Parts: sequence; C-alpha cells; structure tokens
Amino acid sequence: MTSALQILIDAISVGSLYALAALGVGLVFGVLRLVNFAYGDFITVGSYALIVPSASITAILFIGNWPWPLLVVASAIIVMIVALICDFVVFRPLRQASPAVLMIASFGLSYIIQNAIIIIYNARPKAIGIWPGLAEAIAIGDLRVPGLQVVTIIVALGLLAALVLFLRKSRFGVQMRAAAEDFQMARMLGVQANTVIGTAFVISAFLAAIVSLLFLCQVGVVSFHMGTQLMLIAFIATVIGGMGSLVGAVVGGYAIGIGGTLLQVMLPENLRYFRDAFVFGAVIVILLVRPQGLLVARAARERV
Amino acid sequence: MTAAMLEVADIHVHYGRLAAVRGVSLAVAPGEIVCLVGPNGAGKSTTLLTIAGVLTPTQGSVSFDGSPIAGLSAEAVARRGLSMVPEGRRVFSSLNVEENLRIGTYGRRDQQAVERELTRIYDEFPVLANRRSMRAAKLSGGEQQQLAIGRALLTGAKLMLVDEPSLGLAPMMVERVYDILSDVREKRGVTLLIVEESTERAVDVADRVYVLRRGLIELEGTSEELADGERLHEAYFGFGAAGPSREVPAS
Repeated sequence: MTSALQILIDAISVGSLYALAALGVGLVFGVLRLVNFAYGDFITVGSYALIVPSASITAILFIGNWPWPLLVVASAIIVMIVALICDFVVFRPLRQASPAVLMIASFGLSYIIQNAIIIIYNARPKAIGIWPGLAEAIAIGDLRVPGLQVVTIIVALGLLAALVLFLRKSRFGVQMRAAAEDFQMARMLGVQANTVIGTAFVISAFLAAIVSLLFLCQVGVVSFHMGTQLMLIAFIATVIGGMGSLVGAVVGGYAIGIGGTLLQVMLPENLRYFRDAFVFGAVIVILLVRPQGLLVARAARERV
Repeated sequence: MTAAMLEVADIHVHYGRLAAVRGVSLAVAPGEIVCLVGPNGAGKSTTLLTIAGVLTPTQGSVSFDGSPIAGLSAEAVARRGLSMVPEGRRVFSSLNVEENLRIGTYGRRDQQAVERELTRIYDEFPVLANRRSMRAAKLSGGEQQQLAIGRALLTGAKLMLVDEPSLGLAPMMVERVYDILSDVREKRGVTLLIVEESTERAVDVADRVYVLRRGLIELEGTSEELADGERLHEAYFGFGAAGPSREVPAS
C-alpha cells in the first residue's frame, strides 16, 4: 500500500515537471503560433547560469552558491533576458512568417544556443550539486518520499495557481488570452502585439528556469543538451493535450509523466528497457483517436 | 464637406498578385455616417482592413485627423481613435463580457473616463450588464454585435469602422443594431464608416454613400441624390446604357 502511494507521488512529481515545461511551450505557441524548439535550450541556460563561464572540467559555482531565493531569481532573470533577446533578434523580424518558418527558425536558434554553450563552457557534462537537503527523504508516517518530489509537486501546483490568477485577473493576462484567441482583432482594439508576445516569452522563460533547477537537482549534472529531451516531451505533451490549449498542455504533461512512471513499474522486467516505445506508442494511439488532441483550443481563427 | 476626418486617397491593395482594391478614394467628415456598399468581393472589407492598419496599401495614402496612418500597425491606428467592429463580430469567446469590453482600454491613460464610459454602456445595453461575467460565446448574435460595438466605443473611438453589422442577424435585431449605430453618432458624436451589402439600408441610414465594385468606386453621392435607387443599382450591378460611371470624388 505504502509503496503504491510512493509510486504515485513519484509519478505526479515527474508529471509536474513535464506539465511546467509543456506550459512554457504552450504559452508562446498560444500567442505566436510558434513551436519554440529553442525552449529546451532556455531550460539548459537556466542551469548553466549557476556556474562561472569557463571551459574547465569542474564546475565552479557562482550564482549556484547564493541563497535559494536569490539563486532562483537570478537564474530566471538570465533565462528571461536570453528569451527576450531571441525574440527580438530572431522572431520579431519573422512576425509575418508562417508557423512552419517560425518553427524552423527556432531549430536554428536551438543549435546556435547549444554551440554557444559548447564554446563557452566546453561540451563535457559538469556535475553541479545544489540544494543537497532536497535529496533527503521526508517521512510521512510509514511513507518516505524524497523531498525533491514533494517540492516539485508543490512548486508546480503553486505556479499553476499563480498563472491562472495572472491570466484571469491581470490586464496582461486578459490581453494574452484575447491575443491567443484572435490576435488580429486584439490589435485592432489597441492591444500591443510586442508587449503580449514579450510577456509570453518572459513567463515561458521563467517556467524554463524553474524546470531547469528542479531537473538539475534530480540529475546533478549540466550538459549542453540537457533540455532537449525535456523539450521533446513538452512538445508531445502540448500536442496530445491539444495545441493552443494551456489546460491541454498541463493535462498532456501530467499524462506523459504519470503514464511513463507507472509503465516503468508495471511493465514486465524484460520490457522495461523499451518503456519509451510504449509511452510514444500510446501517444500515437491518442492522436489516431483524437487528432486534435485531448482538449480543443477555442482559437480556431487564423492569425495574420 | 470641409476638413475630412478620414481621407483615403487612391489606395491599391493586393493579396499576393491579386488586386482586391484598385484605386479607391473616399473621405469621411467629422460626425458623418458614410456607407460603403457593393456586391460580394468588391473590396469593401479590404478597404476597411486597410484603413484599420491590418493591410498595407501598395500605393496611395490614408490619413486620419490630418496625419498619415497607412503603414502604421493596427494597434497604433486603434490608439489614435479609429476602431473596428468587424465582420462576424469576432468577440473573444473565451473571455467574459466585461473582459471583452475592457480589452481595448488598457492602452488608455484616462481610466476615469473609461469607468464612466463602461457604466454608460451598461446603461444603454442592459443585456450586457446582466451578462457581464458570462462568456461571450454564450451570447446570441445580436448580443455579440452589441458587445462588439461597446468594445469599440471603449477604446475611445472617434471614428468607428463597422463591417456588415447586419450579417447573420434576425430582421428585428438588424433594426436594433442600426438604431444603436445612429445613437452612437447622435449621442456621442462618433463618426461612422459602415460597410453594407444592401443599397436600401445604406441610403436609409447614411448621409453619403459610396458604391464599390471590383475594387473601384463606381458612384458617390448623398443619400438624397441616390434615393430613387436607379443610378445606385446600375453602379452596384455594373450594367446600364452608358456603362459604369466613374465619379471619383475630388480630394
């Protein structure tokens, strides 16, 4: 019984991480119709921000040594700046371009960021230990859960709640929702496109930084491609959730996280190695049954 | 007609290689109601979207309150007081009524005026007041049209561009919508440029009418001049003994 509960908490914590990453992808897609593959590299940047830029094999912590609130804020600000520069330099000149062009541009951007990291930091993975306290288990009765899992779940729920409040109550949130539904109409009413898109990039970058730090705690190593796998999962989560639907992105993230973790436990031992094949097989089945995704976004209108 | 509020001079607009508007000139004076009529595909909506800054003319100029606006972004045009009530209404269906109304107010400095205007709109459109926290998707067509008009007014519109307000509405609702539009001019002094498919209704509500066909202005005149309808129909359908007349207003 307790072990079932432990597995469940593990599954929810993995799902939480994926849901946050998927939200970051979904927010930018909602307003810009851009599947930003450089988002994975925003995640990577969030962790590299902690160490001193150098090619040395051992990581020298700088921001990584700061007290946690400062560390989180500093990492987030650095990722936000990178995201805003990317928008300004790459995506802003492409505002009239088709979603396919935007996506290809984001692939290019992704390679540029990865190679910049290789040039500055060296291609080898580096071990970074932050917040060792989180590795300790928290005992709740008979239940012993890693602190990191509990923190991940709480952080995800907190950020989801904050994001819902932001989108419902703040003027930027309302403008973002309007723009996600019909950008051209919003602009004809005076909503400034670049402000809305910039806000989407900033929130997306903030989520990338949080995902990065939680993921780093889990793996303890930074590498230039650490965000790639997360980006792939986040993208798939937004697709099965329904492109353009934020609730769908969250549902998709949790579905993949929880599904993957449960498969890991429930598959016969000799099949576990092929777990990802089962996960992605399930994704294909979902898309065959519901090509529009689990939840359909209300924005049906084409953006100009 | 003195000092036009909106002046469109010889604009050409293309979708790719297709010319949708091929040299349209028109002018709207402060406080006027002007109708742009014409058959399907005449370029009416294209003209409106070009004025609103969504489309950029390949040639020609648009000026509003004496300054050129062609080439400005849609949001910049809106912030100068030119507001759109689009074809098909395009209310934000996932936003509630009040959010829809407020969406155009965030760029405004005069927040007190915004609150006054909002109260006034709720007074004049009680339907909206009763449904202020309901999602716009749940409103009927006529209610959505009122919402779209209120939303445009709240941007601080001096001139409202209205694209086929009667489309898809029951005849009684059409009457109501046109009453509202007349009120908007009478009570608030907002100038109106309305796209309409029906020549009868255009002559009925407008001070002046332009007939647009195949991307060109075929005829222009005051409603009195065009009241008998004969020249209007000739221009509209493009047949007549002397062929289509080309009375482009001197600007």
